[in-house]
Amino acid sequence: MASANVEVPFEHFESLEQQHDAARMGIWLFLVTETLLFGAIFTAFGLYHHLYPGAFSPASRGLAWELEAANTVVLLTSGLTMALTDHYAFELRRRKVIVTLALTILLGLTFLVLKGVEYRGDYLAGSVPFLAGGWHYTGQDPSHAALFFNFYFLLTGLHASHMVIGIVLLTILLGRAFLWWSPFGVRRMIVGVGIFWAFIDVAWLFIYSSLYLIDRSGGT
Amino acid sequence: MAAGDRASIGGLVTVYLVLLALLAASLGLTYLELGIFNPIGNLGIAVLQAGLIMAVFMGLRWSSPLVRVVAIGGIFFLSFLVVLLLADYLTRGLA
Amino acid sequence: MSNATATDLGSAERVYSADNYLHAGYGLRSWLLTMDHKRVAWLYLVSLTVLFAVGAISAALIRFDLLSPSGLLDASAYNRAFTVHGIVMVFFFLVPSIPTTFGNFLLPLMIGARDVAFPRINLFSWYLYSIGGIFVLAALLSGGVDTGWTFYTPYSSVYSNSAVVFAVLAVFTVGFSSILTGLNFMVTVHKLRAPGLTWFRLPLFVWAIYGTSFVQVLGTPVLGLAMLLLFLDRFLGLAVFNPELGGDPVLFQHLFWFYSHPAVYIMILPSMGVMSMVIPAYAHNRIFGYKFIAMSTLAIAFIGFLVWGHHLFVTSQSVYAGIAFSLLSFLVSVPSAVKVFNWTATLYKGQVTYEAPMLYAFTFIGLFLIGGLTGLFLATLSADIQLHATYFVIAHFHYIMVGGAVSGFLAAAHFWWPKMTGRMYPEIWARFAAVLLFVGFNITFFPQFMLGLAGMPRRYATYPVEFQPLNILSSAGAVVLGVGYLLPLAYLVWSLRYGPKAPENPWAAKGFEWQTSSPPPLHNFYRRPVLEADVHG
Repeated sequence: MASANVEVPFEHFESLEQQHDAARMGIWLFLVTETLLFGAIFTAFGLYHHLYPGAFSPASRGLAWELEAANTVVLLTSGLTMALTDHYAFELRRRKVIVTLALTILLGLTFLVLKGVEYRGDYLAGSVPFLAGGWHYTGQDPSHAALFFNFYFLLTGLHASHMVIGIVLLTILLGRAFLWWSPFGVRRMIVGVGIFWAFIDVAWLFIYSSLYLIDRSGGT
Repeated sequence: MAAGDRASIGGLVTVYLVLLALLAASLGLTYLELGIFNPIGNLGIAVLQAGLIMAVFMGLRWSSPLVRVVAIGGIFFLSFLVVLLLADYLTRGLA
Repeated sequence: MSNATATDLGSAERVYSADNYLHAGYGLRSWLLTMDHKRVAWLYLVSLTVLFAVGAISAALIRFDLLSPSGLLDASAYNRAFTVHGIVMVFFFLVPSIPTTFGNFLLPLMIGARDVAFPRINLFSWYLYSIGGIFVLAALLSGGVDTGWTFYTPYSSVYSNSAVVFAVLAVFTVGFSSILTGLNFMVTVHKLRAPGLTWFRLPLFVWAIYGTSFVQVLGTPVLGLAMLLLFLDRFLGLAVFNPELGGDPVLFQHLFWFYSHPAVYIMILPSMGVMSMVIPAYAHNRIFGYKFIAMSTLAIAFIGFLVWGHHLFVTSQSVYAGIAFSLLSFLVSVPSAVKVFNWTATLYKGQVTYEAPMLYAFTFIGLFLIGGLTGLFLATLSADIQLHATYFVIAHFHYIMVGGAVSGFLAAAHFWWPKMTGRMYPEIWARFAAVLLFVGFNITFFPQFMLGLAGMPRRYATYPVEFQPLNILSSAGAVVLGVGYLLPLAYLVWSLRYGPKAPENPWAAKGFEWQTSSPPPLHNFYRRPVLEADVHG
């Protein structure tokens, strides 16, 4: 039951358009900070990859790339469902929004589950160089390979934590969509979370390529 | 916010399918031994996918120039970090 | 170039309130849950004062230790003292100071807006700052940190037994606060300007805040990463700087300074913006070279991102990179010099009066000049080999940060105090305090240039006996400087109750903020502000 039929801008904005522009600019500025965060990690990774190719390449080839290829499909699909959520939210179609939101959450959780499966496999293979990870790497140049795995866990872990945050936000959105107390508020939040979710997708594509694909053709 | 400023459902699904095709291409690339062009190809495809997502899923295609500048700006400044960092590491061994 | 007639920059029909923002609610909730940017500014002012006190006490401990060549504290305590001094003063005072207080209060006023773009995020930023402060407290209660505010690896990641994790969490959290503030201000300046208020009609303080925000948004994430990596190393053992794994400790320094050099521009640009407001007001003259000052702000923000390697001259960083960084560091001094020339030229043919804000402004120009010029010595690759990690560096950055940034902060505090509180401060005491600060500052820090040239290293609890006289002089100066800080704290608080009521525009200055009541109403204006002719030239 919406309290008003027309969206009204917040008190400190002159118009709805100004408010929407400001919100969009704000989200993107936040993503700029994320770009620098992930980008700096990729830079460091690229640097060490350049310095220790003999260790990094074999280590990369030992990763579960097929599993993560499937996970990439899962994530891309969630990107579609999120974009659909945004589309339906624009039209204030409550039921469709609820369905697409739920699908996005489901896909996000699937990603995390598969990631968990992979991490378990890494642990059993002795590829965890920190904590009490039981590091016993049998490949080439173990100490530099440990550096590779540190970056592997750093990048995938940082990405996964962003996924968790995204799923929490989506769940809040799902609740708000269910209650439908302020449809315009829900729509505004979907725009923002949608852009964030798509960014996590983009980050994953670079993570997947850098960690799993670029060294794949070098050997078995 | 006019109705024409966004993708249709058909448009979204099309982009999705293209993204999947690009993923397949990137995976396929790993079966070929192209030396330096393997990483270039894989990362290049990732850039294309990112561009599509940013343009359509994130709405940059219909956003104001200011928002577009902001979106690209981060990468621009990141390049300073990359270039000057490499300026250090790549010239350490020289003379 | 300037308008011959005033331009009415009114907006659409709006409701303007007549109440004083300080009367719009009295309880704790009205402050802790406020969405009014003016109240958020006060929240920050209180938190900043508390943290500044922590930083100042640690400074007192440092100067106390250095009274004797054998050190009056033990080395471990001394290391903790200078570490907390650096962390608190840099991250919890200098970086947030002007933007979160005067920036928050004045930005919407100066552009004719009712608030910042995201008022709730503004409040959230303050909570993040406060949580960061609690982490600092936790670090102190856990015995302190001894790595220096620069947290160099591998000491910080592997060997130190101190509360590094708390310190890193503190910096990470307050960094997030800084990012959100910068983001908020950038969107505010882009989107909430009153109709007709084009970029080149903006007050130079707004340009300064914008430039600062730009640096905050782009630089702080990399600091966040450096802190994150340090945290993961200590907490999980996830090491990327460990030489045993092929990691490079210098990589940490690259990531750390990629932020921390632009950070010094975050710390100085707002003060420069204050100068560009205060000097024209008390010279009763139009600012000279408005566009040059505006453009130089952007130039400093931009070029400031390209010089961080000058902190790494004596590491294993390649000498060729060093040459590039040295050249770029010379380049970044040019826009700052442009500003100093323009401020000086503003005095020409003006009718200069010497109220306290103007005294602080003169302090700024003189001390920033010395600080800036000595930066050029340090930017000279070969000279830096001798000067790196000596007291020369310490003197250099204190001239800029205290002589410059803090003078700017105090100038702003006095200039806008009537506007923010509706009270005048006591002028005689204020002028006395300003002079005391100038004198005390120079006695404290000028000897440190000499000590640095003579070779006294920084971060050592002890020193060769021949350096004692200058150290004693420096510590004595610190006492005078301390009084120079305590006086404003005392009389400004006093004025809240007993100061004479302030008129709308006590300084006959130009700008939107002076066209509303002192203090302003809840929604900032009770009649539409009018852009006067000739404000910016």
